[in-house]
Amino acid sequence: MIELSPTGAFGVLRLPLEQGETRLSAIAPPRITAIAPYPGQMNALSRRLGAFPAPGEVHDGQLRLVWSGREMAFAFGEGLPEGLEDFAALCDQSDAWAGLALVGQDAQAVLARLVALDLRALAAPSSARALMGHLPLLLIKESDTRFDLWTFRSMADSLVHEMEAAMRGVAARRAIS
Amino acid sequence: MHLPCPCCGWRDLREFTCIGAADHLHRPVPDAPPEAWHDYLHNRANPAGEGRDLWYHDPCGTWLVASRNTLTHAVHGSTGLEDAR
Repeated sequence: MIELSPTGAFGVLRLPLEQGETRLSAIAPPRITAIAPYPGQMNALSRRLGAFPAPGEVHDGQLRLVWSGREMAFAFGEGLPEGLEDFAALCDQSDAWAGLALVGQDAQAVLARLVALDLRALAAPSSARALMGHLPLLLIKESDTRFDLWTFRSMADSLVHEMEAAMRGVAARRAIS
Repeated sequence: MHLPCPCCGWRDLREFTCIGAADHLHRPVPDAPPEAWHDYLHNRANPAGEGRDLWYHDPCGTWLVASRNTLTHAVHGSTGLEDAR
């Protein structure tokens, strides 16, 4: 039998990437489960999960719960409690999303060129849904100098392209100032 | 221009898609007279002043009705669709 070895979403691209004071690297894909509560089941679901993240919230525990859209959260990691399927639609999204980590003191300046969102106003950790050009984005602010950027896996190439152009621009600006 | 998403707060216009007047929400019953369907499909008040428009916040998937003044461009607020009907 032929053994197929999995490749990452950014397999053919040159990552990690460094420009000036920022570094862009691929995030090793964890298990991602989308959790969408059925109507009227939010309270029952919250009890089993501990809490269901409100818009913008990130809950760190045994597994990480990230608000990821209207009445939806992503669970990052293994160990989802049993029996949730009675209260919410669960969908494995591990292969469907691709994540990049942007680290460095110019991280906010880079994203300011791409995302119409005041990143300074976000708490850390917190999440936001936004657009990067035409790319749907799940942005997780880890700190003032680290942002995780998730988009659909089919758009991974475009995400790197957008990020590289912005990082180059900010690095060039820094070099002449 | 910024619009308030009931889910995400104030966001830039480019994250939204405008669907049109909030009249879209009041769909006639299937056997309503042709005049009612004609109104629903074609006739809009197009007010100079306060208007209610249907918007979609693309990133988070929320439908909302935003109140906006077409004379001053002031945005007064919004309601999520489940509360606006």
